[in-house]
Amino acid sequence: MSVQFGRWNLDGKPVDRDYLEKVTPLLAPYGPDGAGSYSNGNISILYRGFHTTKESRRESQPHVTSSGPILTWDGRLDNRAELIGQLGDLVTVHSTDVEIVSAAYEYWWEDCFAMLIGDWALSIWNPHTRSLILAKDPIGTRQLYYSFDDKQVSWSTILDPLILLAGKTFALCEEYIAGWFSFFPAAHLTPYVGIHSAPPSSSVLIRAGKHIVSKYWDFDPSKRIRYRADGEYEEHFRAVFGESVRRRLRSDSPILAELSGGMDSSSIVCMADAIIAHGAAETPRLDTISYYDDSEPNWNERPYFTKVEEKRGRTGTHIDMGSQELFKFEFDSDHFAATPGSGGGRPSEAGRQIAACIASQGNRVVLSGIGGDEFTGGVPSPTPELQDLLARGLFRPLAHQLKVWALNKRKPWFYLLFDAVREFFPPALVGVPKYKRPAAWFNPAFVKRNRAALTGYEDRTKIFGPLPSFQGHIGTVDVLRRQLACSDLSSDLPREKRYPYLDRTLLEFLSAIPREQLVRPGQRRSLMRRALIGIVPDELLNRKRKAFVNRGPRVGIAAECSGLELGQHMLISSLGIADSTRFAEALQKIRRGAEVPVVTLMRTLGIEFWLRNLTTRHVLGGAAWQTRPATKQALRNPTDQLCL
Amino acid sequence: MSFLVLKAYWNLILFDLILARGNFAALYNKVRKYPVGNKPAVPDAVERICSAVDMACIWYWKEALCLQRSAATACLLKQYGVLAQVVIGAQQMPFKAHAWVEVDRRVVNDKPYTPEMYAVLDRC
Repeated sequence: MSVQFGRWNLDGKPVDRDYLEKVTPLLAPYGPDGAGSYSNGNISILYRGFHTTKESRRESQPHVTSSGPILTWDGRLDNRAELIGQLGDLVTVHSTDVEIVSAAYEYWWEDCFAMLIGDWALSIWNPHTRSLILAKDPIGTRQLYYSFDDKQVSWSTILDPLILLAGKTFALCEEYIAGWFSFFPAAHLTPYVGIHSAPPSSSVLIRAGKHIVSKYWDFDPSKRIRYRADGEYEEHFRAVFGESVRRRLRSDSPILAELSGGMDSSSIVCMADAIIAHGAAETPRLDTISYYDDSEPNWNERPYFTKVEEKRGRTGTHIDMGSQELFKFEFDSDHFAATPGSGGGRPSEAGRQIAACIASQGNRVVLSGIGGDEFTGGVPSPTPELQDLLARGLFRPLAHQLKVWALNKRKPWFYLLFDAVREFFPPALVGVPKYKRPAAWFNPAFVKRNRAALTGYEDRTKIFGPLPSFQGHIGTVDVLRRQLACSDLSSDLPREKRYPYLDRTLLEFLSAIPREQLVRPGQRRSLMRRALIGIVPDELLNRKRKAFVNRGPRVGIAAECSGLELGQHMLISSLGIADSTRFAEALQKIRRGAEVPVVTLMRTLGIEFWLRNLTTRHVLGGAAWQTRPATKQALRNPTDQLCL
Repeated sequence: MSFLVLKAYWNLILFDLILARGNFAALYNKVRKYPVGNKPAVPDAVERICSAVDMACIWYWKEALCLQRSAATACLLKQYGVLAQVVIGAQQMPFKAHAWVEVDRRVVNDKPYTPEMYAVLDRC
């Protein structure tokens, strides 16, 4: 994962050399494999490489295309062969990814973005039209932030230079903070008013006087895959999942896979082993890293990841999380944390062990199972299937499935029907499900202003149009996009995270098949379990119980909070986010072992200490708060024009 | 089967009323002292009775509580000659209590790994 930075002075003045010299050390830890730069008059672009493929080591960036535009590419292009075939003599099989993307841009212009499969973020400066394009892949696995005013435009893979070297203070975006408390803020937001994140699946065109955000690709609701037999779905799943994993094994160094012992990570590791055994992967080796905590009653994963290790004949690195200080909320005073998820500065013991593991094995890429649970039917909800039957007017199958699911869930059938029907009505009319309701300690005025962000941007399911299960799939993709937009790059030991379950082709397949292929009554992950017989050990495929961590966070918070000096003067209270008395009551409750929304509580503590860190860095202005929610313009009108 | 479902439904109402009065002791005693039928149980009695209770639950006007459902199941099983026990368990962090039915130490109306999740407090 390489980093890029650019500055364009709209007033025509050259970019200050001192300024660029200050940016360079902020970028350097993320890109240890060399630097490149482009400067021409009032524009300067910096690039720091972090190479993960053999082609990337031959890259020279920023890349000057044959017709003049300057392309800076941070990514992994998965459909190289397909594009090489379509571009004819313009590129060869030896071309680097950036050369292929450059040729594709010159051939198809902005239309090429939808054709680029992989994880990527790019910027294109066109000196002829004096315009800048920023774009990200459909899921948004890479970061690209930008800011603009009437004098300059700046863009960067990391937030730090945009904030620390802006020469001004910022107001906080209230909606971002609200989103952080629930299912993450909208993907185009950052904590700072005036600094934006390029949205996934979109391109941002910036010209003097114009700023246009356009969506270049979306899932096709008319695409449906219907087979006669289960076996055909299983074969298709194996093919797309295998291809997704194979794409992410493209690395000239050993790859590290997280192996939790659950279905997601185990399937990735076992599929990767099968691909490597067939000689179809570039990586020389696959290592694994597993975390365990024997004191956690519902997270006894050791027997399961051991099964996978036995199957592959190799033991990975094991990290005991039970002995770790997991709940360190305070930030180091000399560390700047650009976002609440940036970490406190000093790596935890687990972080140090992971870094040591990566350094000793020479890993540059980490495979993550994020998204597996959400997209392959890890949540056994009957609602999407029942909604599909309702929307299509198939009442006899609906009655049958209601009975079957009600027996499985041991709930009255009309409860399930109500759950299915309620989502067709506006949340304002029927309310939001209990698990999405804002926590009790939030200030009512804050909740009122940011209800959408606090309830996970809950929207009504439409009964007409795309199938409800398809709409649910898109909603889940949006949650993952928001989650990835909040994830930070690691600078202590750079590594590139790859997500096999967030592959565009795989997600398109999963959105096009009937919901009952994914989840059946009593069969979580039905398709995945059926399709991976013979690849994943039977003990995992037949595993009934889903692991979850419940005790650890509560014990950790209860222990940590006694040492925290929260007092009555909490920043979240003075900013009108939460009531400190009610928050203290929630902390008391968790100490007593009572049920409280533990994730929201942890994030509230995280935000409090992050705000304290920001105030010490003097990046917040006097009016530190922007209370006007900013989401609707960009979410509902993808093509949005703002004057500079 | 439909007769069994009706009996299960009646048991759900009965234990609902007992729990509505907050009389846990009455429920406990009722289950513990419920006489075991003299006739030997038919081989598939456990499966049929658990299915009947599940069926009654999906037609019940509200979601049946685990204790209510387990008490109803245990009494019905005992009535048909199966020596069943209601097991009450709890976990500490976060505090959560649960009830299920066991026959010969085998969970019959819940997930088989339920005892791993809760420390057993009592059997009746």
